Amino acid sequence: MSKKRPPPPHGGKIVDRRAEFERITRRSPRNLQAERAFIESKMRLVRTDPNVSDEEKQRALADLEQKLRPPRR
Amino acid sequence: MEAFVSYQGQNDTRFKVFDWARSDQWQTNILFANLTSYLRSTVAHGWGLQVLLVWNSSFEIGVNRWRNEVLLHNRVTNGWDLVYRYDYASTTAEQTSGWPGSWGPIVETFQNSYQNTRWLGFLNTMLIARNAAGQWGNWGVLTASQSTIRNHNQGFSPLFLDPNYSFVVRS
Repeated sequence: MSKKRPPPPHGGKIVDRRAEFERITRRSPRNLQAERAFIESKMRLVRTDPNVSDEEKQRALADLEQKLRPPRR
Repeated sequence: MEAFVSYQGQNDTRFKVFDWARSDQWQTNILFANLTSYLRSTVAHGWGLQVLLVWNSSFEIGVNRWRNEVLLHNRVTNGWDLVYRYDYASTTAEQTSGWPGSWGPIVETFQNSYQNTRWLGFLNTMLIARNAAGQWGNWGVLTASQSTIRNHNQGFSPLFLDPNYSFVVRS
């Protein structure tokens, strides 16, 4: 099995800029209110998904809550 | 993994990465002011639009090893810049069972009603997949079998829609 990423859409070379983006991210203040709203929106998307059964929704919500629990310090 | 543009008000616009594979999910956080090499102008359906070309992917790199990556297309170099990567342990079953959620273009809302927002949307959303033998297919725009439209009726209406891969909404 190929372990490589797929070919780039539209072609072109790939350059690693992760260090630069990590540096800029560290300087950018986080908006905790917006982050919380993002999480709550995921819950709402699951609850209102017309293609998911009630049982699947309950499982998905439990899984989401577990994944989104703040990491232990 | 989600790679997206986040808006708050008219002036706080950022590119962010939220990685579901890790416990500290919030990763990349870049103000648009730092993305001048990546933002470009285009015209779709006669409308002038500012766009950011984003490529996000999750793929298997070894036995029970997976990789999440985000790349942005650099307008200046005409190439792709790798801006985020995370390797993690996972099985194919974990990647495909339960509620995997969905992938694709979404204008996600965070209040009950919107009005007078700037235009928001996606152009030419493409997907590529690997078969069981490990061979990548070809990039192609989303098809009817790969996408559905959900409208939560929160004040947005389409400026234009190209089923199933492009849309821009206004309020």
